[in-house]
Amino acid sequence: QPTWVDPAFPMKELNTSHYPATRAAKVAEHYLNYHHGSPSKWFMVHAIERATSEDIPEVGTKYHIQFSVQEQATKKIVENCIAEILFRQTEGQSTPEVNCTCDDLLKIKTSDADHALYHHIKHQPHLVTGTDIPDSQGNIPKEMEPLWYLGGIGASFIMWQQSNESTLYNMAHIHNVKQLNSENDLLAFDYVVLLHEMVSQVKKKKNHSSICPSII
Amino acid sequence: MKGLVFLSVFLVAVYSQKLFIGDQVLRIKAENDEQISILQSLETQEHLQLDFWLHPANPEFPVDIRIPFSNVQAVKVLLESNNIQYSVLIDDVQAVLDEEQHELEVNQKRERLTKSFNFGAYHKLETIYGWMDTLVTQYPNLVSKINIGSTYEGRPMYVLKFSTGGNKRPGIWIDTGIHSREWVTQATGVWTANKIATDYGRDSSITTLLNSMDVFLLILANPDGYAFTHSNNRMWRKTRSKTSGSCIGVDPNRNWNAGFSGPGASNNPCSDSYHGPYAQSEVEVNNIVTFIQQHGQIKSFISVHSYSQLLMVPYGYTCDKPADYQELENVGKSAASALKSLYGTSYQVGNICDVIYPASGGSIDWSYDYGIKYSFAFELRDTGRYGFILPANQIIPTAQETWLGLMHIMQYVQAHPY
Repeated sequence: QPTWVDPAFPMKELNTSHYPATRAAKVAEHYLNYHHGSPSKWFMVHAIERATSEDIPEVGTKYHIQFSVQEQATKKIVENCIAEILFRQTEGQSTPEVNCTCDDLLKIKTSDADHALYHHIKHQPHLVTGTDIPDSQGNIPKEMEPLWYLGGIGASFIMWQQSNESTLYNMAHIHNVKQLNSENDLLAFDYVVLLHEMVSQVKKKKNHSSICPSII
Repeated sequence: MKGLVFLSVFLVAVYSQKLFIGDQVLRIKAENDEQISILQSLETQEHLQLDFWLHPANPEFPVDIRIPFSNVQAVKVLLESNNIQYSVLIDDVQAVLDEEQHELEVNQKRERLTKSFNFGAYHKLETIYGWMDTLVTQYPNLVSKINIGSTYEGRPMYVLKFSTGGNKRPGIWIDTGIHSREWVTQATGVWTANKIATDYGRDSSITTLLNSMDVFLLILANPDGYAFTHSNNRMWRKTRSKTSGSCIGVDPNRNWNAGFSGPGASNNPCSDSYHGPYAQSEVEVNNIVTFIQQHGQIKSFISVHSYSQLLMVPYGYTCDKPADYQELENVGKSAASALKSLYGTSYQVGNICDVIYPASGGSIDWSYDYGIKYSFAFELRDTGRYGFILPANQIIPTAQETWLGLMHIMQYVQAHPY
């Protein structure tokens, strides 16, 4: 059982079903995916156990979230994730500062699958491309799944950067993905993705590049 | 005569089934015991191959005989020469059998159509409308289709009414697909309509419910938007009305007369949450409001959306809790439990404003303030991995678990009349 942080400022207990907690947890999810995701590893928030927030004068609001995540490929649930998310009071958008650890995160080993994918793509005669992932019916061809995951990870970086207390982002769709030429060992992809922002219901088209190094 | 007999035998040999082409069934009214004796002696005439459906016993009762075609004239001559009254019950037995067979095939085909409809796939608008007709044809004593008005682009809005009779029984309203890109909701609506129709008479809960309440199900609450998601833009959410400027469409769930143009709604026509020029400006919303008001006995109003896995109660236009909040939250929590029991899918429960965001002009805020106490909004699967583009293989599990939540609410409504 993780010990709860002693707050420097008045702490408010949050309802785990209400949006302040769920939005903060979503930011932690994006952070986790960016740092720990792979073409065979994608995390979604599973359940929020406890959530509190601290209003830090002149700085912003800091959230403490205790939650579990589920890895989507293996369906494994990782309990005891603790995240600290600071939304700074700034003029425009600023990337939330996140500290997040999950006890057994590193126990989900996907290096074999990731290496296999790397070698598979490296030895293709042509550069890999994909469009419309998923299609209208939600179908994703099996061979496109790793690229979907990879797109999600790249998108997680953008979604993390774009998040604040008034947003909740998810990646809605991959318009297309193109493998780029690279002279070294790295695999590089260019993505055009559609992000869905829940609060404004806005769909944002974003371009991002994902690099897949030979050693993950 | 001999040639005719040979032909009959030939025909019988060709077809594996016995045929009764031209056979007639006569109904004979014997006047006295003497005539009865004559008819009884006919029974012993085996060469006539008479098939007595009602045997001669006494003059009080008619005598029905099926006579093979080849012997019809001979028997009639015999009856007439003995002044025995008769009438032709069946002019051609085979024709009756053929009609029966045809009807059987038609019914089987209908059943196959409704049963073979792929509930685990997303369908175009025309397909769903066609399927609704087959459902009505298949269950004419339970299901009827009501046209509650046209959309902006002139499409009909059809509500399926599930009723076992009565005179304006209290009703439960369910709508799916008001935001057209939320495809799992329309698909859930179709599955649910089929579920209600097929379970009535077999499942005690739905049977009890429909014996005292009616259910109204609007599967395509935004037909124009839905057509557009198929033809042009899978992510279309709004209606397709042209208001001002170059942008099309109004968010139909910000257009209701409940805190209209308040928080969570945009006054920018290009926004996906544009509330529209005025409350109920959208004909789709207006059609529903008119229907509900004219009905006058709707006791529960349930709007189904996706995604986020939430079961919400009013209000969205204010974060103040409605007077019945505690009761509604309790019902919601039990419904979410029932839903979760099937596949473990977790739903959060609470008022719209606190659970998801402040959102004014929403349907269940309108219905609650109108006086329909049991107003709920569902956000179905998932929580963002696929979002709006939920794989078709999740349609049926989603519909199945949602049904448990819906049934819980409906049973509660029935048990708590007001």
